Amino acid sequence: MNSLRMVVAGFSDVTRKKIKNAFSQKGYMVHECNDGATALRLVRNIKPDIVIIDSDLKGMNGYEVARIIEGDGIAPVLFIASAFQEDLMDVIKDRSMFTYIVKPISMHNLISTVEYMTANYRRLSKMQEEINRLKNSLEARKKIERAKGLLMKYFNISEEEAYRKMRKDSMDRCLSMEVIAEEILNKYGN
Amino acid sequence: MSRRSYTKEDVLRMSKELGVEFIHLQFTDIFGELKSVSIPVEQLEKALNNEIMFDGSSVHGFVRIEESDMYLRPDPSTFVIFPWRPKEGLEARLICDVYNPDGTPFEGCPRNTLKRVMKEAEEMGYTLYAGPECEFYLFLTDEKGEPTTITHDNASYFDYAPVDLGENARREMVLTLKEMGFEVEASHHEVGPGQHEIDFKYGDALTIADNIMTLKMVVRIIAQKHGLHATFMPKPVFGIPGSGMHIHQSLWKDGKNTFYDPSKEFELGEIALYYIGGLMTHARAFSAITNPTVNSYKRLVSGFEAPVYIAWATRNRSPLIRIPAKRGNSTRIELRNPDPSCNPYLALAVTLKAGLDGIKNKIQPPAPVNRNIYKMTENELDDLDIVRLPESLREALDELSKDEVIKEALGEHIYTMFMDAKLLEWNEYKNYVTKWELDKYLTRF
Repeated sequence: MNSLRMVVAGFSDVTRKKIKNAFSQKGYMVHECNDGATALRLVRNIKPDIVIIDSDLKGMNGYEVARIIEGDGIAPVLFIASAFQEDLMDVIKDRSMFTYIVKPISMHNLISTVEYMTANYRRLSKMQEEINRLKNSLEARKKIERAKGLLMKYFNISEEEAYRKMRKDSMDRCLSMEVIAEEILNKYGN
Repeated sequence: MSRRSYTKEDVLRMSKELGVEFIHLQFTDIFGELKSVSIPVEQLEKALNNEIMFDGSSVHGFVRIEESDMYLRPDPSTFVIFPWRPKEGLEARLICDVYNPDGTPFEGCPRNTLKRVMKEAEEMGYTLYAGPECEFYLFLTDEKGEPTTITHDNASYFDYAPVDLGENARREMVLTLKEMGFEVEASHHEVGPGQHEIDFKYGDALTIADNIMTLKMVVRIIAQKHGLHATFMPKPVFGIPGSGMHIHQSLWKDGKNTFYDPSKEFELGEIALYYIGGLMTHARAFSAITNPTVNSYKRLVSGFEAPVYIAWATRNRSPLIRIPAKRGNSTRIELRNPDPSCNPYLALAVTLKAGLDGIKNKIQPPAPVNRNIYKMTENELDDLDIVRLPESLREALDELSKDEVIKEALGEHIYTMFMDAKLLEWNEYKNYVTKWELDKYLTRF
């Protein structure tokens, strides 16, 4: 079983070590850094399962880094906002796509939030995959229907015959029905 | 690549439909830096009616304090939405010309300057088409976020398959530019480690200058998103290739490329030769504009394919002016000395002016040099009357001060402001004690 990969960016050295230890013990592979540009390079390089970003990040603005990572869909982000940012976070809550919690944080809460996020992200990814699959399947079905219609019109044959023709062609040439349909659409379509 | 033909109404409509919230009114200062005045979309109509003002004295080289109010006139065809901004909070830009309060074009605005020289060309019947090849380096930043000149991170990513950070960044840059509607001709990893190149498709001079400014903006922003620092500095590291900005050029008249003439030698028309003659005559002077920094001259040294001598060739990779092999409508000259630290509007203005001067005065260029110039001796070069490009910014500025044609292209305002600023820059550089000197002399003497 692959262990989950995490990137922790920012925080004081002590806090970062605490976070790293806590999650390592839970079986996560934790990478750390303390400035924004390194975080971006690291995250793009290893594509972790979760990124924890401190609002107080060296170099770039932590919020900006979080936005970039989440905006480009590289990994889910848990943003640790400072107490005085709470009002700001409320305002942008509808806009920002990432999860945030406000300091001070307890390790216990951090761990449960992260576990919830990773499970959720997995679920969402699976759902997205299923949606994509269904979309593709629907597209293929539409093409096949249209192709059948064209064959029926062009050769004056029944629907069953048209389908059988396509099926035979697909099996003989080892091509998917969708590809056969595309060929028919290109040849006989306008 | 033709300019998009958006009208004011198109821009207003698109902004509304797409939910644009901020517009950046962009313009370029004399030194080639992008400036912008940002407005909320509620002020877009006002901006399109040329009513937005800004304080010109806040832009270096623009004006003295007394004449500070300047107007921005957006060019609707340059309307472009920034695809890297989140859907909620969409931002767009419009490139503007700068005008005086009395309604006359501000002569310190480089875009107006290019337009003026383009008009001169138009009056002679010519349109300049150009194609730029822009090189740049992507460097790592340190923990403080400061750029370094390191291109490979030897830190701890060995557990995972190496990912070329720069390649991914460049790919995203090209996709972003395409998404913004630009036609990118090519992009690739260049010779230097961490060096990249992005080429735009041919277009009219104004569009191309606009595109170069846009390219630099996009490159910088996307680089930052990848945790990298992009630099268009001509020679950031000694011993590795510098970054140039070769500019391919051809003059068209009545829909035909005047540089092509299959009946002539090399299939180059008379106009092409005069253009080359003009460029060669004024090269030492316009270098001050196409290679405007002290560092530019560190790139113009032999050994790295950068031009050093003023010569043209059909079968050489290293001269100042190279003739690529393609003919027909693709016939063109490639001017190889400009570097990306230049102001693209001024660079195109001065080279066009030089070329036009060549045509007006029927300046015949010397024979092409199809040998390796770097390998020729001083005597051989003298015999062929081959002259060097300036070896320093100071030399280039001196040449510029003596060239009335190029000075005329710039106009008095830009020429004066540019000279003053560059002489100051040169003096600063000249007076500075560099690490090289310390390394060399501190212990020896």
